[in-house]
Amino acid sequence: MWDTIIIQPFTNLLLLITMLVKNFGIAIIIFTIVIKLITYPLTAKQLKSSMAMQDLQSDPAYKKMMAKYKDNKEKAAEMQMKVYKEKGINPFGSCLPTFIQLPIIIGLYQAIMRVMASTPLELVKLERIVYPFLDVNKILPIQNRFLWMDLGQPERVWIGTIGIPVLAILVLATTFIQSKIMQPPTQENDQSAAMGNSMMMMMPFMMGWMAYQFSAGLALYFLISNITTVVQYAAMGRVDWSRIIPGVQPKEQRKPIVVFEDDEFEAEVEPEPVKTVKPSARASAKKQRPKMKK
Amino acid sequence: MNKKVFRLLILLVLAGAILTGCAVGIRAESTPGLTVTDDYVYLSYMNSLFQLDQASGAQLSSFPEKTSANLAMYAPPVVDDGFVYFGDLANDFHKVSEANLKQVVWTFDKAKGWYQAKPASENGLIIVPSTDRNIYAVDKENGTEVWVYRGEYAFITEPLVVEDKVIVSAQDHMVIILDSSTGEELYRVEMKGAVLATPLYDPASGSVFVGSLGREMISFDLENGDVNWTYNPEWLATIWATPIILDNQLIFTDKTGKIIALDPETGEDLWQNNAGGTVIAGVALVGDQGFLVAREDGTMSYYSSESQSGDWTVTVPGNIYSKPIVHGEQIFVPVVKADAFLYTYSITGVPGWSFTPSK
Repeated sequence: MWDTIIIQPFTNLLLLITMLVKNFGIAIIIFTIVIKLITYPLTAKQLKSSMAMQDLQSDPAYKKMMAKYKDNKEKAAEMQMKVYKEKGINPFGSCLPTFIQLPIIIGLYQAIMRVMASTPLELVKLERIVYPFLDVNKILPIQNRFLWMDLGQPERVWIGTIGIPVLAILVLATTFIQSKIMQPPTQENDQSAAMGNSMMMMMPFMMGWMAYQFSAGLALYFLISNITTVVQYAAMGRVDWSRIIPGVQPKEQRKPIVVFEDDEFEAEVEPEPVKTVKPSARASAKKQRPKMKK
Repeated sequence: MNKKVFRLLILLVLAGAILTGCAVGIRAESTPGLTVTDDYVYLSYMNSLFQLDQASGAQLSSFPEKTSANLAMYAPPVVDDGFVYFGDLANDFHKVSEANLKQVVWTFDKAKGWYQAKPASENGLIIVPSTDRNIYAVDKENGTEVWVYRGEYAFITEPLVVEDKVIVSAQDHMVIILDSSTGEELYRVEMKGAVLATPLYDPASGSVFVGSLGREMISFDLENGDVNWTYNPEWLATIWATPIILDNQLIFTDKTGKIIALDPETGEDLWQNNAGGTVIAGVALVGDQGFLVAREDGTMSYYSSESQSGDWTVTVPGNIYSKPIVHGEQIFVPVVKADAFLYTYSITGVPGWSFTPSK
């Protein structure tokens, strides 16, 4: 089922591009960009949704409301849902496109792995999923050589006996750039944001390590995917280059998508109970005493 | 811990697990490599090369000392003069002692690609194909490079050495003939598809027979490369394995399971049969009376040259992609997707021992 719906069409598309351009490296680049473009509406929706959520969460009035109900979680959740409904925010809006994209990303990855068949057994399996209109004789062998790389092997540039993993370094750098420019602004003393930042810093190393370990074809996919994502975010006007390029003026504060107005909040919040103090007998007497005319 | 950070952490771990689970460790899926000698059976599969007692199947030795997820081996070894020669997927080629596989004599590490095919041994040289598009000739004594042939695509098939020539199947639709002492290309024969089967040489006629994924079987003269005949009827499917010669008949299978016998001199049809399923491993000669056809689904049948039909059939519990080896009175069948790595049978089809590595 998974193979028929996802892997097989992806593999055949990749093979078709390879047949047309006669180079597997270029085919991976085109294939990655095509898939990124197809999934762009989902990416845009995800970004818009997360931006709206960010705006709301950094809004002072919203923060005030949440602080107000910090001891009453039920009420806080109720108010939160009310605000989401009024502002048209879907709290799962940023997760749902990710979940839809996940099979596509995994399928893309597995299709590249399938096409890079390098053993007779893998070739048997590849031949089995090739659509009849794609003649396997015209497809095989697949030219794995691209620039200085062998796409079926982990990439290294050899200087004497030292192998430098250039592609892994590029993957690390582009993942870092991607994380850095897309990172939401954080406020001082925001501990959770600081932790989030450190996680964001871990990601480039994880991707770099995988690019170092995997065959160059997959590392190339990581690299092109990173670059395409940055370009997509830049096209949406979301990238703040001042975060990575020294000397670039910080981007002007963008107009928030969601504005949380204090009045609305006040309207929703129950009036504060008035502090009642039992009047003293003297005060009561004073109140009842007729005022003296001067 | 903040919920958001926790979720991010889980997502990172999941992403890492999905991606690394798919590609780290053994990076290629292949079939067990099998070599049988008078005393031992060598099986290279997954993380180890195993040496087994031929009679009982007991594990005697293994390589390496300590297995690693990043080290895999599938290439069948060559055994010569008390030493075992084999390559791995960490781009290293080893010479180890037959008496103790852990005793490494030398390691050749110049290749930048995997070793997946059985090497050939000739005149003090080990000739070994690599997926880095090169064929290396290495001095058997000291492990130094004697010559290297640089091709265009990964070499994944065992070379065949005949006198002073090396015959190499290539994925770029070519059969390449090299000088065995210098590695110089003498000539090449073009085919219609990728050649993934080792050619067969017939000393009686001086002809070479080889099939390809281009749905053809050809015969050419080893002396000059002249094609004697080409067999490519419309219905023929891809050919993945080496043919055999039995009773002056050239016998081979195509992927759909057709068993085809031709006149080796003229390429004319003699008879046909059908194995009834997909055949990748091809046919294996059993003495001078018959042959085996091993289907992908594990069904293995014996055909005598007289009856040309299945005399007996056994079902091997696994998928068969490597050609079974017949040695003396025993049949050795390496399998994948099974409880054991290797099953044995007598030449009459009676099950013998099987091998599952000790944990």
